[in-house]
Amino acid sequence: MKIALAASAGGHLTELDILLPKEVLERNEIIRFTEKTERTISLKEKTYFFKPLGYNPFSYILPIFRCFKILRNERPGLLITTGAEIGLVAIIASRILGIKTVFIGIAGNPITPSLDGKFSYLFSNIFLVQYPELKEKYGKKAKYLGGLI
Amino acid sequence: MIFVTIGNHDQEFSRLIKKLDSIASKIKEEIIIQKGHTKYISKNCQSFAWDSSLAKYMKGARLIITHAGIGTTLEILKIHKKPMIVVPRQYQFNEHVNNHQVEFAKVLEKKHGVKVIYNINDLTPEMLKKYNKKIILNDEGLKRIQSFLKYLINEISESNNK
Repeated sequence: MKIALAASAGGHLTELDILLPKEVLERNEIIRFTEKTERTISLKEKTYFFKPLGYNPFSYILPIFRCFKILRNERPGLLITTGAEIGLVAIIASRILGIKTVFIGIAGNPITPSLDGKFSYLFSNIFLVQYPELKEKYGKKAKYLGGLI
Repeated sequence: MIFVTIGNHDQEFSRLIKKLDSIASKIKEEIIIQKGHTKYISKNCQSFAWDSSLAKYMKGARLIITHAGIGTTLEILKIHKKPMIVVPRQYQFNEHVNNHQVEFAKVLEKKHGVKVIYNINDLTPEMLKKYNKKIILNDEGLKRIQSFLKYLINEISESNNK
């Protein structure tokens, strides 16, 4: 199956790579959405680069359309994201196109629900948190299975 | 060698870098700093903005001092397994966009006994000379998330094949 992975280039990407079992990367065709940094240019899988989007909501509009285009072309069966910026763009576009979506909240944000998490909650089929206390802060759909920390 | 890393976040973290500069003149051990977007130029430590991988510095370090970024702390705890002191970036000093690093550092401190510095003056030459505590994280939570993801991916690919 083709799987799309989306995360901004810092801790969100590190966590996504730790959380994904190696055999998932080996047995499936992977495409990635992230930002261009010295670290991400050496990623092994096919990677689509986006600019950092920050906090201005208008900067999200064009990347969402670009994401539509890429996803229509690539047709992944699943999107997994640990969020932030491009992660949010990818989960919105995927859900609208009917692609199954998984959001995993990062262990680095243990107490206060994040802004990208709150928006991603609306567009996720499966929404995981890594601290039991965060479950009720997001809503009924949020599941806790365990965490990295 | 003591390795210091404060990530690639675009706000400065000079509170820590300045303090380390004054400590460096009082200890013999070398301090190497990855300082990202912080402009302060260290006089007593070697520093650089960014490198494609920090693994070689982490491997060579006796002690690592880090901001409370999730990626870096996980890399230190899970891969390099080195003694670590965490100094969270704080919102009140304009070091990050909110206070999640303080929240995360408190969890590391309470749950795993990680050494965390909130007041920068608590970081002393004596502490850096002596500190050698290693923290072990268990993998149970990670394994549960991974088996769920494997199960989910199997389910979806089977239903797509039907």
